[in-house]
Amino acid sequence: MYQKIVQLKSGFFLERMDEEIVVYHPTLTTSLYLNETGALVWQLCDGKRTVAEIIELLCRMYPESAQQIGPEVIALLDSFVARQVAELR
Amino acid sequence: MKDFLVTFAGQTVLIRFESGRVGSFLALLFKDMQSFHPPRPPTSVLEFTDDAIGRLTLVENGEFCAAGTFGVSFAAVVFDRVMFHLLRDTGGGVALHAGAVAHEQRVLLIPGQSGAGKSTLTAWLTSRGFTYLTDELVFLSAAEPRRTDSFTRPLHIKPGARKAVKMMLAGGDIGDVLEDDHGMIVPHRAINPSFLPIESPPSVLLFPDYRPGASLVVERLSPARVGACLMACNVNGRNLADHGFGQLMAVARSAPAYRLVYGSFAGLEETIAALLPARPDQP
Repeated sequence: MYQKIVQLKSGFFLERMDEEIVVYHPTLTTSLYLNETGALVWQLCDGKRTVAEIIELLCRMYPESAQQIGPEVIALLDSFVARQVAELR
Repeated sequence: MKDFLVTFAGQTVLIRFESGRVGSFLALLFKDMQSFHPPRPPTSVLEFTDDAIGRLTLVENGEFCAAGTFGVSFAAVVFDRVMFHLLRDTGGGVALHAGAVAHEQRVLLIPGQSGAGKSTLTAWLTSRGFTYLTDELVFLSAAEPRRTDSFTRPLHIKPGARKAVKMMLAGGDIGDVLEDDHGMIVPHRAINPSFLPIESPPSVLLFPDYRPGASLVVERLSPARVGACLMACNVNGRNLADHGFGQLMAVARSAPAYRLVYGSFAGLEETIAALLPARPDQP
């Protein structure tokens, strides 16, 4: 999983509110609330970065939380995939 | 044939019927939504006929739709079909699955999917002096953001909530309450005879989460969380270019919102009173 690239589906409406975001996909009719951490991960899913690169980047940004970041990112990406808003390739 | 016009969100449905019994049934279901001067010609025609043994047939735009008796489950079908036709072509705003009540010019919106406890909480608030607006559906106009249209039908109470709602009945139209194994249809005036509807925008949003036995918990929701929750309650998104996303995000920013977990009505009155913002005419 770590070497896979995260590809978000295209065509989302996105609204930023404070540090959080809401995304909505009109075809999937799926809406997603993302807290500050989720919003950051969403923005790093640019279709080029791998899962490992996203985790590494976040660990460098928040070294004090490095131990939790990996499992949190994996859980978040799993939820993206489960809700069909992203795929790993 | 006699005509009965139901209007909501600028749309009109024409209901045609013959017998007095059907007329009384329709008056029970749509008394507060009957229109004599609709804003637009009806877009759909629903015809009801009944026979000597009390069996009802519903025909929509010339095609058979449903049959049943003068009971709660057929009333639910009629609500669903009328709402479907009223919303089928409704643009210009967002229709939301939501209850709504008003208190001193402030509208408390209670969005939620079916089964979230909207009707029971709406009934209880109505019994505590709030003005009933709807237990099911509101329309928020994009062109008139200061306006909320409410689908003011009688309360549709599921079987599990009958006992609690019966304790709220206060008089008024109690004789019109329809009850069977499928639940109750309760005219709101049977709970609170005072009724002065208003169309103000929501002052506060309350997302109910009824859990038997749970302690009372109130959690302030961030605008982003509210936005996602509102999108899940959107009924007519397919009619709108952005599925109502932009308008609902504006609503999410416009009023404080809370998640309310409750297992009984104990303590609710004080809690909800504290969530209401100051009256618009007070500093």
